[in-house]
Amino acid sequence: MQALDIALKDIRHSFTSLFGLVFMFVVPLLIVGLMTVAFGGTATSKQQAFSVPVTKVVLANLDAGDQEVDLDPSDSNPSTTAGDLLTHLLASGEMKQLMTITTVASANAARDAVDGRTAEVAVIIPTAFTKACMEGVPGGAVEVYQDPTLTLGPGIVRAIIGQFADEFASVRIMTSTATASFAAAGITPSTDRITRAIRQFVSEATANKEASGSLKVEAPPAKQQKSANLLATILAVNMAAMMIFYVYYTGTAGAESILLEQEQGTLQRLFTTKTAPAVVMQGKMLAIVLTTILQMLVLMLFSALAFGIRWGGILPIAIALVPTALCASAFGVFLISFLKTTRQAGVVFGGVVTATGMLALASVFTMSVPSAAQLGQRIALFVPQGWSLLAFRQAMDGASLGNLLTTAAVMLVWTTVMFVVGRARMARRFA
Amino acid sequence: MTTIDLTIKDLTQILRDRKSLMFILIMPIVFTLLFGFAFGGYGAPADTRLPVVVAGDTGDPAHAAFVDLVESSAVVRLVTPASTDDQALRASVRDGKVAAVVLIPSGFLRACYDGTNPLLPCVVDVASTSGTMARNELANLSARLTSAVQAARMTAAIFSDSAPTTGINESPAFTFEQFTDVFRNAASAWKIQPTAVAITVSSKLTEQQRTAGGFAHASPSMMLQFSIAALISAAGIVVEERKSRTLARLMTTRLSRSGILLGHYCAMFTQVFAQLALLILFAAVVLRVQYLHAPVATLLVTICASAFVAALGLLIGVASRSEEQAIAFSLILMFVLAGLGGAWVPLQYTGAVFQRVARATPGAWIVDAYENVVQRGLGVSSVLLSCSLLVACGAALFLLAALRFRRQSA
Repeated sequence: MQALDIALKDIRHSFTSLFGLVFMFVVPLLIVGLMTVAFGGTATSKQQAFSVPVTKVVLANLDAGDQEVDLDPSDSNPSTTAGDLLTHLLASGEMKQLMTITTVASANAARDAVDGRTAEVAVIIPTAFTKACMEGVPGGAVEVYQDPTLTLGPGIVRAIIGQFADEFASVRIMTSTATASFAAAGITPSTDRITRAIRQFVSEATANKEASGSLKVEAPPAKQQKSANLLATILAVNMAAMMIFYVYYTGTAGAESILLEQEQGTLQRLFTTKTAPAVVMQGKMLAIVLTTILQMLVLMLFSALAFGIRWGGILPIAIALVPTALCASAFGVFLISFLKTTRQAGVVFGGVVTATGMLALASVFTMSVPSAAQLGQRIALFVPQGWSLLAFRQAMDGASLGNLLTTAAVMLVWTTVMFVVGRARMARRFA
Repeated sequence: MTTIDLTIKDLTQILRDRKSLMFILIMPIVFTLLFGFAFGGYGAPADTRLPVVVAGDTGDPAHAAFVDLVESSAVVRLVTPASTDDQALRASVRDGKVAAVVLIPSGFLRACYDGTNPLLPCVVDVASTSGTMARNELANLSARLTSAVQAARMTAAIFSDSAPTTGINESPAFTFEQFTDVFRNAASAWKIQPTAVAITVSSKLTEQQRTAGGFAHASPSMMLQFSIAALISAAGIVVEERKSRTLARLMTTRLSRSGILLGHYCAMFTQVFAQLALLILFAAVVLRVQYLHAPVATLLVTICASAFVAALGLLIGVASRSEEQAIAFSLILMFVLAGLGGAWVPLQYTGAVFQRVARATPGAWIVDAYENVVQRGLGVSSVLLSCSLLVACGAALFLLAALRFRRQSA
């Protein structure tokens, strides 16, 4: 009963502090709101696609063409080159959401535009491009000259040019392979027949052009029920990350009340009553656990309504939430047990909690960078926040109960170790 | 007491608090190393291609052909799975062990020979960036596979038309073995195609100078973040001075209001400048980030960034009612400015609207100006705009701090 009284008093104190409320609710929601803008809208908005920024491309088409070939007999130009077709493709309406094209007369002018930062990528189509496309001769590669700080925009441009070149290569390969096969079989089909067959192939290939090609895309098992939407995933993971980050702040701030009471002398007065130090600690711990649970529930409810975040089933979320609350509380008690004054606690807030929180967030920061994602996930598991985040991500992804319980068990081990050490240090101090 | 005395007093106080060293030096170095390695470490990373598995009917000629195509890719790389069990393969995508699994259906090429167009099942999480990238590349590779099938079909069709008829006036059948041979030849022809796209970089630095890799972004980013975080101690001094009534006592001396404010500002400027200088030295010597490639430009950016951050610190100190508030303001501003500056997620990975907003914030100007030097290899002229904006912003913040301080000390 005494423990509950102490807990209620601390909870009341937490929820009447403007500073506490801002850190518990306003800041995490503000940062996720910022992320929402960062990635182009909310998960509930109608326009669910991730908004890829438009890349500024400057293009120099130097293709001299091939006098014997008109690649597009349907137009008035008697010598349409592969360079013209590529230019037309890059400047077409379909590409407007990905890139804006400005044409220049020379390769140097194109490179200067990137050097002068008026463009992000320069595409230089060489003189022998048509010859390279038609005959497969080397020396006809398109040069993509890019800003060294960028990878995404140039990557998109490169992929589109690669696909374009592949279409010519397909025809070349088809012709050469078929011709070699006929020669081996002693057959000499008419050129007209081969041309007709290739035209048929090209028209079929153009008609069946889809983003997935001939792939039948299937979601991995646990993600089938979830929205396969990149934006929704980014927002959900960021919200979980921010919630964990600030829940551990709350855990530490809650435990700081021990130092505050010690400085104000109320703790010493409490010890003169019949209340045992162990009961005081229980009360403090209970207050932190209840506060963090309440904080998480409010944040989850609000973010579900405001950002459309789907947190997963009640049981998986409960398995992630309760150990997180216990772990955050034990983390606070552990850290505060090393401090003597509330002044030192400021450094702990800014330093240890921020640093460990950021280590956990490494898995989120590197999420958009495929080459770094795996390392980020590993680093995050060096701190308790990383395990809490993993549990919430597993709950949201619909991971198996076994995996979720294992993560929860690891969190409980962290909790036990930190609480035992923290409590022992506190007991020695108040002995 | 003069302004300089006040500055020296503040700096002594900051230096005495050894824990502030954690923000000033230890944490930025640790996080630079952490993010630098995460974003590629030194030079070109060993192999950043996304791991994919090609499984299914390994006896089908399409399996070998697709494996060859994946092996020639610059975006994905082939990995051997621990288990070929269907469920285990699908779970490996869910658990992020591989980016995608392509399953070649049993009798794929036979079905193509029979005239159907079977699809290739591809298990991939398109709700992740790596999944989307892997899906796009595998779609390109599958298009190459389809073109090999088309080559075989076209050969079969022309063969039927052109081959001499048999005794009973029928064209000889194009056998499955012949179809497979043409398919194999067409698929393997992709290996000898000349390069279609050549990548070149606009940097003025030589390839040897650009070996800092991931650190070239991580270093300026973490300098920005922790120069703001380190304001906690300095801003706390201003708050403490007011709360302990030392300010009231100072006001009785010959030191003017502007002198007091300037004293604190100079201390903050010196702290931030020294912090940035030490971190630049560390990055240049240890991590080989090219700050010294254009030393004047680096110095100019450092001075202007310090001027801005110090003004921000002064405003935090003056506006905070308690040390707790000073910590909260410092951390919130750190998150907002570092986040908008692209310190955590490079801005190129964010949406178009966010990029437009972010590029109008001081954090992005600082990171961009440093990147002009260390990545683009540019000189003084490239940082002038960012520096002017930083100084203007710093002046505005100083003015706000002065107005607030005047009201407080009135």
